[in-house]
Amino acid sequence: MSPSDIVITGIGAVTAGAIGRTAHWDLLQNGRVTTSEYDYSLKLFRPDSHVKDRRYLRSCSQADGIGLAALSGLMTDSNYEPEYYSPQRVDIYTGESPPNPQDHSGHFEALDAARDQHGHISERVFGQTSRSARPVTLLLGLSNNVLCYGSLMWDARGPNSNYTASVLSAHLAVINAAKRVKRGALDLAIAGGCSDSTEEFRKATLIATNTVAGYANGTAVADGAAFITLERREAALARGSRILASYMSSAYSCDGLGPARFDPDGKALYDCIIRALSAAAVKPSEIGLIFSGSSGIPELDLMEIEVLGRVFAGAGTAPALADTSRVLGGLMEAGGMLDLALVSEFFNCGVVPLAVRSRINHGQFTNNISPERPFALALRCSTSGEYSCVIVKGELN
Amino acid sequence: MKDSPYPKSQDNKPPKRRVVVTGIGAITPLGHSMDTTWDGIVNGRTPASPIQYFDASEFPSKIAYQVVDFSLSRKLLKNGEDAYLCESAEFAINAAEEALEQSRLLGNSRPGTLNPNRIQVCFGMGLPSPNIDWYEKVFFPKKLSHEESLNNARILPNQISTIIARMVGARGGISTVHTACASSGQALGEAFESIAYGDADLVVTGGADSMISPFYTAGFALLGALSKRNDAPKTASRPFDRERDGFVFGEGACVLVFEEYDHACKRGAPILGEVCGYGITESAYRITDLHPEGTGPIEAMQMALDDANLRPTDIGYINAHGTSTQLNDRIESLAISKVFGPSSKDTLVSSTKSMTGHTISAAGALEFAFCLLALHHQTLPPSVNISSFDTDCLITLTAPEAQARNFSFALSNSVGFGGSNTALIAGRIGR
Repeated sequence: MSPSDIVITGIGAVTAGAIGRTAHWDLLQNGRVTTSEYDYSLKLFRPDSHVKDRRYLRSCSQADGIGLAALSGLMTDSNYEPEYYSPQRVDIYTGESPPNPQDHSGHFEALDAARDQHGHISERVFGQTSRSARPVTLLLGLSNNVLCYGSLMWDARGPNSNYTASVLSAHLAVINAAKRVKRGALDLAIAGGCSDSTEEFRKATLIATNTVAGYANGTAVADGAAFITLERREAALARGSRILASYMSSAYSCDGLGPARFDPDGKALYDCIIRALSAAAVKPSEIGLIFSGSSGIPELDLMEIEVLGRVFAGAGTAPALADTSRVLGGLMEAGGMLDLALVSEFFNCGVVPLAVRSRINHGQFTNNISPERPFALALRCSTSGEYSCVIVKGELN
Repeated sequence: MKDSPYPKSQDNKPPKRRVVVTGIGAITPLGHSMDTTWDGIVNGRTPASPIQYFDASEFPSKIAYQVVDFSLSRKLLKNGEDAYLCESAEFAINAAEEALEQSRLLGNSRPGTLNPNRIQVCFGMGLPSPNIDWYEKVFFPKKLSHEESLNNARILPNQISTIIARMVGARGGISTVHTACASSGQALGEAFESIAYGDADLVVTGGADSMISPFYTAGFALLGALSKRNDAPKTASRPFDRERDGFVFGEGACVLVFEEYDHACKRGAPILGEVCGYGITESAYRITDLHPEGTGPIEAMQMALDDANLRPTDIGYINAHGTSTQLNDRIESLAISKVFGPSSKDTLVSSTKSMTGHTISAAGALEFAFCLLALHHQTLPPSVNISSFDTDCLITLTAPEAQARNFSFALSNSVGFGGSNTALIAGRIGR
C-alpha cells in the first residue's frame, strides 16, 4: 500500500461560525467574524435538531452534543450507509476535553440542598440529597461519550480510542486511526474531536498552563467539533464515495520538558516534521501549503515559524502559509480537522484567503498555492511541548 | 445499499517485532511497590475500609480500597511540577520512578546510547476527582486567583504524561488515553503496537486513577454499580460470587516499561515478560452495559489470540475484568466460556479486584502486571471472597489460595463504560 492509498472521504464540523464542509469553506474564504459576546462559544447551540438519535443527548454534556452533531453531519457528508462495511472493521477515534464543572450539573440541586446557612456544602448531607438525582448524572461527566454514542450511531465495533491530549487530541485520533486502516485492521475510521473550551472553568485552566496567556496574547479558545472519515482509496471509490484529500503520513513528538514548558529551539518539532515528510516520501520542495499550529502564544508561534524556516530553507520557492484559527479560533481537542478536509479547496482556490493568512508570516512564506506542489503539511503545537504533523495531498480539479 | 466488498483479508498486516517488559512499578491499596502489591495478591489480602477522604456516612456506599500513608517521591520531580499533580498523578510519579529504576533507565545505570526520539509515553489517565471544598472554591467564585487557576491545571489529564516523558527523556511523543475502565488496557495496547510496528523502541505506559470522591461515589451509586456491604468492607468486592452486589472503589497507579526485545537485550535491561497480543473492540451497545451475548469482549479476546498467534488452550490464566457487579461478571464469564470453552480447566480465571478494588483507569495496567508476575512466579492469584460461586458463570476459578501452576501465557481483560473492550496477552520469558 502506498501512502496515498488512504483517503479522506468526508467531514462533519460544527463551530461557532458554521456547520458542515461547504459552509466552513465559505467561512474561511469570506472571513466572517465569528467572535461575538460569546467569543467562539457554542453555549447557545442546541444539538437536538442536528443529532440523528436525540435519545443519546439525555446523558451528554454540551461538548458531547456538539460532537454528536458533527458525527451526524459526517455521515451525510461521507455518504456512508451503516453496515456497508463489517461493523468490526469500522470505528471511531476521538479527542475529547476533560469534564467541566457543569458536567456535574445533575448534582447541582443536591449540592444546593446540602448547603448550610453559611453557604457551606456539607459532604454528609450531600450523601443524602444526591440520592434523588437522575441516575444518568454520572454519565454527563464521562470523557468518552462521543466515542460511545458515535459508535452506536455508526454501528462501529472495531478498534477505537479516545485521547485527552489537549490541542493534539484530534491529530492523535487521525494518526492512530490511519495506522489501523493502513495495517488493514479497519476499513473505515472516523477520527476527530470535540471541545467546549470557552467554558469559564476550562478557560481558567488553560490560562494557568499558559495556553491562554492572558486575554491579550494567547489562544482565542473556541468550542466546536470536527470529524473526518478515512478509508482505503479503492474501497472508497467502490462505494461511490467522493475523495476530499489523500492522507500521506504523520508523526508526533515531544520536548520532554514537563508541563507547560516547551523548547524554544524547537528541535522536537523539527524532528516531527522531518519524520512525517520522510514517511510520506515527500520533499520539502513538494509542499505547497502549510497549515500552521498557530497557538496565538507569541513565544510558541515564534519557535514554530523559525522551525518552518529551517525545514523549508532549501526548498526553492516557499510554500504558502495558512492559519485557520484566525477564523475558527483555537478549537483545542477538535483542532486541525478542517485543515485536512478542506485542503483541496485551498489548492483549487490557488491562494490563501485573506482571512486565514498567517500573522506570523513575515515574508518567508507566500500566499500563493502552487498546484504543482499538491502536498500540504498541517501542524499542532502545544505549550507542553507536544507536536504533531500530518501530511495530506489535495485532489485537484 | 451498494454491495459491500467484504469480507476482506488482512494480508497487509506487517510483521511484528517482539515486545518485552523491562520495568514495573505500582502504588496500590495493597502496597507502595509492585513487590508489596504482589505479596498482597498471593496472600489474598483485602484492605478495604470505610472511606477516609470525605464524610461518606450518608452515602449509599461508604467503603473503598484506599492507598494509605502515601508520600509523594520528589526525587525525580522538578520545582513546581507538583502543582500539576492530582492525587492519582502523584501515585503515578512514584510508580514511574520504581518502573524506570527497575528498567535501568535512571542515573548511572542508564545507557548513553538511548535515542530519545524512539522513546514515547502512552498513559491511561482517569477523570479529575474533585472534592466538594475544591469544587466550591474553583467553580462558584466569579474570578479566580492565579493560584486557584493553577490548581485547576491539576485536572488536565496529559500533565502526568509530560512529567513521565521528562523523567525518561522521551522525545518520540506523548499520548494520553481515556476510555473509562479500559483506559490503561488501551494505553498498554497502543504502546505495544507502537513498538511492534516499529514506531518506537521503548514506551513508558500504564494508568492511574482515584475516583473516591463525593461526586463519583454519588454518581456510581445512582447507577447501582457500587457495593452496599458497608458493614463488611473486606468481603464486599466478590467477583463471580452469587451474592455480589457491586464494585468497591480502589485507587492507584501502575507504570510499565515496554521495549523492543533486541533493544532491551543490548542494554542489559531485566526482561520480566513478553507482550504477545492485543485486542480492542467497541461494544456499541449501551454506555454502561455489555451486550447480553458478550460480543465486544469475545471479539477483543479473539483478536488478541489471533494477534499472538495462539489457541485458546494456550492461555493458562485469565485475569478477568470481574468488577463484582451482577451484570459484568455474568456477561464476561459468558464471553470467556464462548472463547475458551465452558468451565474450561485449561484456562483458570480470577479477578484481582477482590483484593485491589476497582482502580478504574489504572485497572488494565495493574491487572496486566499481575499476569506478568503470575507467569514469572508460575503462581496463580487466588480467588478470594467467594462464599458461594455463581454457577451461572461458566468459568473455572483459581483456588481460594495462590497456587503453583506451569503455564506460559495469560490474558487480561478490561471493559469500560462507553463500550471499549481490551484484551492483552502476556507471555513467560524462556517458555
